[in-house]
Amino acid sequence: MTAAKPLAPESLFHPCDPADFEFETTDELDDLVRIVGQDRAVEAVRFGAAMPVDGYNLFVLGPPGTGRHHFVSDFLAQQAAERPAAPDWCYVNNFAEPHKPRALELPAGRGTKLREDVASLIGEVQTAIPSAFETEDYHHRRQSYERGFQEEQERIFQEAQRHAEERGIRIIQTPTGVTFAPIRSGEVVTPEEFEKLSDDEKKRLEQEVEKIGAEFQALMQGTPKRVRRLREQLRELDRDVTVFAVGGLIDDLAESYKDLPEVVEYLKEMQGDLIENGDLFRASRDRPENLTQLIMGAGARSQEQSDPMRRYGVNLLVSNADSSGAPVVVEDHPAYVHLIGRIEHQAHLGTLVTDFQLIKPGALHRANHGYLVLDARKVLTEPFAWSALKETLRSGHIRIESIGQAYSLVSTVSLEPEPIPVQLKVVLIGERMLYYLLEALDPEFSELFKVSADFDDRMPRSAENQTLLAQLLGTVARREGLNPLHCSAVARVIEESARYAGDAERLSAELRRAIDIAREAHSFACQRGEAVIMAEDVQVAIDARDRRQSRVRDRMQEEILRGTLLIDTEGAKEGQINGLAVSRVGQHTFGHPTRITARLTVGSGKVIDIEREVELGGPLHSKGVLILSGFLASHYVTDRPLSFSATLVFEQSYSGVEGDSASSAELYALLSALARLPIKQSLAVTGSVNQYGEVQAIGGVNEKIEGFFDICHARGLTGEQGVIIPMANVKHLMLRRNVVDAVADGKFHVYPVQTIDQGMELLSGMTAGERDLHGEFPEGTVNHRITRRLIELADNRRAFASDHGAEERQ
Amino acid sequence: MSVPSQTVRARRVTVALRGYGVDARLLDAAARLARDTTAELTGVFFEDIDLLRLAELPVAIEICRTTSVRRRVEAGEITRELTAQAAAAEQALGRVAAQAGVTWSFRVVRGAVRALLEAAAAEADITIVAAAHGALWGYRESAAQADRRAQDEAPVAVVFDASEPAKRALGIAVRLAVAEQRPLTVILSPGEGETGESLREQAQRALAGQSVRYHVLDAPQNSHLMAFLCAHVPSMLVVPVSPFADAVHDLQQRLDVPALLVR
Repeated sequence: MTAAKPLAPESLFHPCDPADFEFETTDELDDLVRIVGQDRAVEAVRFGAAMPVDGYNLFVLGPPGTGRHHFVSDFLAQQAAERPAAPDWCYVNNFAEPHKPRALELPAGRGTKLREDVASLIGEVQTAIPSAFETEDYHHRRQSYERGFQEEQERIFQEAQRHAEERGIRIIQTPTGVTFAPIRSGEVVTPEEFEKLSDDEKKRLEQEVEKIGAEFQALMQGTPKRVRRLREQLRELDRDVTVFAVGGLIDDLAESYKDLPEVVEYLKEMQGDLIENGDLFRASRDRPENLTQLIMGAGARSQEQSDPMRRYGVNLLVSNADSSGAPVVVEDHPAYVHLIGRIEHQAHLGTLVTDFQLIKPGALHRANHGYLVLDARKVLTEPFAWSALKETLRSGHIRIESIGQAYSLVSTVSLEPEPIPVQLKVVLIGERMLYYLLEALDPEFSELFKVSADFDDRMPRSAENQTLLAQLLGTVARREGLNPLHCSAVARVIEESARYAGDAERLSAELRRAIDIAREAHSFACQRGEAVIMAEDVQVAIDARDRRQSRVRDRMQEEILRGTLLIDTEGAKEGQINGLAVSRVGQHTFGHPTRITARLTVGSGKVIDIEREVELGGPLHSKGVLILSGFLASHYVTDRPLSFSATLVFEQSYSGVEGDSASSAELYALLSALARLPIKQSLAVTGSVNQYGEVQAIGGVNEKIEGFFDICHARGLTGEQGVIIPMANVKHLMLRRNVVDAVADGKFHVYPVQTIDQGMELLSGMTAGERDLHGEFPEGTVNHRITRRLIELADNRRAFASDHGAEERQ
Repeated sequence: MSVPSQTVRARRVTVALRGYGVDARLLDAAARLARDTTAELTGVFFEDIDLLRLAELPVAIEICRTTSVRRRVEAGEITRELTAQAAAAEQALGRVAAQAGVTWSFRVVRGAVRALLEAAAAEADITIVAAAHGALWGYRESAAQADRRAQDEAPVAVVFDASEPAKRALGIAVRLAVAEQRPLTVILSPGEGETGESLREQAQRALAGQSVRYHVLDAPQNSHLMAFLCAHVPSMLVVPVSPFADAVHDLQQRLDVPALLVR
């Protein structure tokens, strides 16, 4: 085993050399027209967008800030531009079933034309019909029919009257009908006169009244038939006049749409309805309340009477008249009604009414035959939106209905617009977790969204990607009017990007963060009056950002320095070690030391993790602790049982602990307690450990090192202080400048280790020791002390058990 | 009612009511007319003597207008109904008169309707006669059609015979037509020794300069005036009292058209 050696300063930070760039400022770079470092996702989006089969909708997953939205929108816009424009969609009246408006599909631009043509037609009809009905000819014909009817009625009435009078009976109208009275000398017989009549005469009059009444009743019963005949004649006349007035107009219009049979069919139906309802155009408008209304009691006119366009106009739902390609719709607020459309209502005479003119389109209508881009989280959190979207994709039709209707919550009569066939590509953009949850929990999801475009959160720190990032920064600077970035500033942004990625060999794909830093650096450059953003501006921006977000970290460090949180950075203690933890508060991630202690006594070989016992430790943490037992049982003494009970605790920890990155520190503390060997408090430790004593990589290594460095730095660097990290984490190091400088000055150290033995040697200052030919650890080594103690504990336990058992037997 | 008060003045406006129920809109219109012409409003409720006699007869039967069903008329039934309707009419007239701010009176008269109407028309400057509400023989349009006709081009019709009452009737008819934006139909009814041509000239002279669309028609003989009007159903009929009161009475039996009798 080789002893661990501190890392050289150059291993702690992997700078980006501005000299590697072939530009002075980003002004010299072309605009970036492709996304950086997302080849896999780009390929997936390209595949999904091109697949013409149903179900190949896309779910674009990945962390925010990677440019998913921009890329998808720009890419789809390019794709859409090469496709034909989508058709127009209209809703028109269904004259046979008005509550089921009819959908019409027309080539792009023809919907707008149809709307204008029909509006123009109705305008002409509004003139043509009243004009036709104002002609003398029409009035004469109508009067002729009415006169014929009246004359017939008069003739019948006069005949009945004459017949009755001849038989001494007068016909008299009453408030509710007609009655028959016997007369004498031209006057109705009074009751007194009637009483004086003979019985025969009374009986005769009674019979006459009965007879005439029966005859009259028969005549009256014939009146409705005659009225019906008159009405039919008048209706036929009106129909003929209307046909003459509008038939030619509609025929001409239908001729111009003969390539669209559905439109022609609709126009024919409209013609039929116009003929049947020509009265709508004959009612005069805007007449003030007048005497006749007062006397005759004219009722309120319907909306259709007020405006025939409501009945005959075209509701242009989607117009693509000005589109040169397929639509790309990005719906930022995908509520149910914004997706599938809605049916609005208007207040009319105290009630809410609606018709096909009040049908409004949703994003699905606008995106039909193109692409619809939605934020997955918003779709899932808007009530009923996800179900509606799936239903539309599954059925291939957009069905507009209110939520109340869809879920049978209300039963009032409303519209049932004809469903519109839909053919589009839906692109959901969301976090990975949403994708995996949908995959796991929604069986329909994988059927409808067969393509996943997984945006990576990191990308290789290659020369090409560094140049692309520089291009991106230059593009944003030009687009947003920022100062150009000097190559040194770009280099600094790249270094920060690698640091944010937590890997010296990778860059963060969260490009938004790099862009934000450039924006903030621009502000500082402007304050300095510089026309170019320099590296120092970027550094100021980074520091300022850190300062803004570091309140919690500073408070924690403050309490450590004040001795409230107990952290030793000097001396040596038995069973006590400085572990390192990472905390995340909002966007800010920082590391800090935390004291881990181990105490033990004779027992049954159980390591008690207090964090787990009180349910503050997560499963990964518990796993790490359990691994320790495995290592102890197999590494030192194999012919005796572990005979101690140990307790491990994160001191002054008041919240949950998760992850196994402290397992090596816990092991060091336990070994220290076992060996009764004080370990250096000037060192802090991070790294997980396996059952063979190998130290494994952990996350957040930079923040952890810096967290301990800040405490030591504040207390004064002694040259003894440092951090033990897993060897596998060396490639991730992108430490702050002041840490690197301290290491270069020999005031701070970063030790990479591969095994627990290497770590124990650093912590204890004693050789760990390797087994000799007899399998024994040499005396004076850490491992020998541990082995000896384990044997001692086992013997003690055995003796205790023996004594205790004998007492019990006695 | 939109007749300018400075052009038409009257001492008394009478509204003639019969047992066909109370038409609140007609009463309201009458009250406004009285207000605009600074006249007193008088309500006269006609009790048809023939009906009252008939009601007492044991042989009386009635055929319902709307169902054609035949039934016996019970003694006293019609009397009770007329009394109740008269009371309701008086109450309604008082209410609209108070709203219009006109003085008013109400009385119930009994007799032959024709004679009662002549008497009422003789003592009032303007007599408004309600529509019969349910003409027995006429062609009755549906309510919707009637409403449409009421708003549409149905003219104000006036009978003109060159008498002084006819000239006043023509003046009122012109103003009604103008106020309601309706055409005017002038029905010429030449008397003894007059030709239709001279009447037409007089009517056209009277209408010269008036902003109203009008037609002048030759009426048939008086006996056929009713049939003529049935065929040209107007929104309102304006007639001079003499010699057309009889015709109005008959018309009231046949048509759903209110009439203005002008003395």
